[in-house]
Amino acid sequence: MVRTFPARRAILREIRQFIRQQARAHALLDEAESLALAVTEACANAMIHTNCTKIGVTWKATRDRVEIEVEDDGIFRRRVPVPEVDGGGGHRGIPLMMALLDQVSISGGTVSRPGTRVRLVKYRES
Amino acid sequence: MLLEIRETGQPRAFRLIGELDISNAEILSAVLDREVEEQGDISLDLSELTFIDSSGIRVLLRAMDELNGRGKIVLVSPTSSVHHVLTLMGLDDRDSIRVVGPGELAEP
Repeated sequence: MVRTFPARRAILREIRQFIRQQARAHALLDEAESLALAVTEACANAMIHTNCTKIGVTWKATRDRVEIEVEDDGIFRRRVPVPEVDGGGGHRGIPLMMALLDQVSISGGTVSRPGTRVRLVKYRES
Repeated sequence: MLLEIRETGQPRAFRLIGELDISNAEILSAVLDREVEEQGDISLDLSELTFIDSSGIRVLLRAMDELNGRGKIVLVSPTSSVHHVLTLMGLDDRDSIRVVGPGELAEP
């Protein structure tokens, strides 16, 4: 299941609703809010750190896991956050995603191949 | 509206209703920026806040820093999903932030 959303902050709630709806449909009620939060963080990062205009969210649930891919059409601005410059309070999105889920991988887009991709995996509790 | 902030009638006490994310964290930030100029605790009732992201957490941490020991941020009755995020981000483990249940407000 793929949905494409405009890259606007006001759309984040709609993206969460999509994730919650999918989680309910796939008997992942306990994981719904963690998944919604992780996807919010991934999409917010796309809006902050790339020049993207739209974001695709792909949901795939199997017997043992859910995989969500968040892909934008932007190029990641390659820069390392420095607390002294950026303030100590920010840039917690990626550690938060890692705390919530079992796998987080990120591949940055390039000029010749735009599109930053974040892959999020959560295993079902057996 | 995604996020509503209501005064509770008590001084420096507000109720957050809805979902707090990067699209509206500035609304909370504006309220807290005004309050942190005075000393004393700031109480936020979170019983009707159903979602918080890292930018919401960032606003709380910044208010805590700006209070700089002149008061605490008291987070009242967070919902279980918000409480989980507060815990993951270590807010329940700080001296300057107090997370309390609904019956615990009477204590000093």
